[in-house]
Amino acid sequence: MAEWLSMGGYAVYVWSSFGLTAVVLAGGVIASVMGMRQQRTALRRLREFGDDA
Amino acid sequence: MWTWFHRLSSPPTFYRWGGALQWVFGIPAVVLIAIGTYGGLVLAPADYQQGDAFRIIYVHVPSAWMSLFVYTSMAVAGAIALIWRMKLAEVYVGAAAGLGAAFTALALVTGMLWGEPMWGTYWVWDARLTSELLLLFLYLGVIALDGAYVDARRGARAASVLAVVGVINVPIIHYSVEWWNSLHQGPTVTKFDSPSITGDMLWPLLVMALGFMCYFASLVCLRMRTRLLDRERSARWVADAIGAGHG
Amino acid sequence: MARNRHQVVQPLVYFAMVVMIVPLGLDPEPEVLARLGPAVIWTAVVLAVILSLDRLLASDAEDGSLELLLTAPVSLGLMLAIKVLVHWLVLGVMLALGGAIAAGVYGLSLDGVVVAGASVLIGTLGLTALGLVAASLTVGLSRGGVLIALILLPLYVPLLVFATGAIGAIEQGLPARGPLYFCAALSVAYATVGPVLAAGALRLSFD
Repeated sequence: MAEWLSMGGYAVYVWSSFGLTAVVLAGGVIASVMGMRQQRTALRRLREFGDDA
Repeated sequence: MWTWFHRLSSPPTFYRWGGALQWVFGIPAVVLIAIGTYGGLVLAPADYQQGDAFRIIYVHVPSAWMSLFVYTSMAVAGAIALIWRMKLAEVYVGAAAGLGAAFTALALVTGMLWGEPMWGTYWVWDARLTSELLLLFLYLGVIALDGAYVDARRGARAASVLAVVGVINVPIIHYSVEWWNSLHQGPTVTKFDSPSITGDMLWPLLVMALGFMCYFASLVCLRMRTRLLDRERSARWVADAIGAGHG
Repeated sequence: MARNRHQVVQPLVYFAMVVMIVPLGLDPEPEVLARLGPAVIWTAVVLAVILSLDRLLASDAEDGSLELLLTAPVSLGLMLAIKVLVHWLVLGVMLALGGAIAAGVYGLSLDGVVVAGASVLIGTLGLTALGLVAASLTVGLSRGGVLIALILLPLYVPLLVFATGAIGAIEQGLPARGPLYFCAALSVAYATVGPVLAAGALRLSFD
């Protein structure tokens, strides 16, 4: 197990790469979902207080 | 035939179908990426020359493929938007740009992380890396242009033009940098070539690539739907969609 | 047109500044200067052209003459093409002279000086055409200038590569014809297609 984690000595590079990928992919999902939520909230507020779009 | 197409490309229709497509693509994306990651990190045998460091290709190559694919698709959509005035195509350009830029940045950074242990340098001005870097700038230009206008429609159209202009230049850029490399570096040009790949190394790569593609398809649907809500905010269907129901 | 004189002088001043500042920051060793020469000259050219672009369309947009152009019975693409040509003939020629002089100052050979001037003359046509497209996409934006540079950076690279490559080649005794032809091909292609795209982009803005 420890041998696998060390990736033949290249642990820093391999795990940074995969870690960064995970962060970017997850970040994309989070950003997109939050974008949709914000859009819906903003539109709901506009409806309630009068639409001046 | 065209009426079907027109109906499909109407914003409320896409809003409905896109919501379903998000999951149709999203769930396979998670599964494929999980399998691909496991295959790449655990199952695939270590490379003869590069050892375990070669495993980085399982994230680097799919990212690079996606960066090119997404930009090309943006250019196609942009052309469709300009020629046939198709709203949905316009919206696609803006929605895809951010994801494409992320893939490009990821490809660059993982490429650097791969290059350092393998060839002792983080960066080399070879054709592929330099073209990829310039591709990132092309993306940033589209993103900036799309967001610079208060009127979302104008921004989307300008971004579409830029996407088309950019894609024409991608092969020109690549060729020019390749030529410049041959002038300055001589025979040691192909520094960042991937190792020769056998079957049991290849399948996780393909699975990951497919997974990335599904990931992109899922998120681009979501992002397009978000933009449609913004653009069509005064339309009746938007009110229904966000459940306000106000008259 | 008195406006034109101002349009030309400022970019030229910037060009001269860049070309003169760089040697001051380095050991004025002849080999170093000669090797850096093409790159520095072309960096200065690009900066000068980008600077001049703002005035290419912006001033017309401000005083309303752009909208007049759009409604005129003559083809907008043709008029924009003429704009590109005039802009190039004024600024490009001056920059080519400046480039040749700078090449001489940087210690390039006589062939290098000639190729430097030629490359700038040929390349600025393409730079102007691409610049017009970028300007037409950002006309009316308050901070369009920054955006123009961002948009143009990747698009300018092929011209830059072949132009500096031509000068570098001739300095090494290799023929500069190949890269110069490529430069010319690119410039002509951009000058042909650019005005059409810019016209389309302008129409989109004013629709």
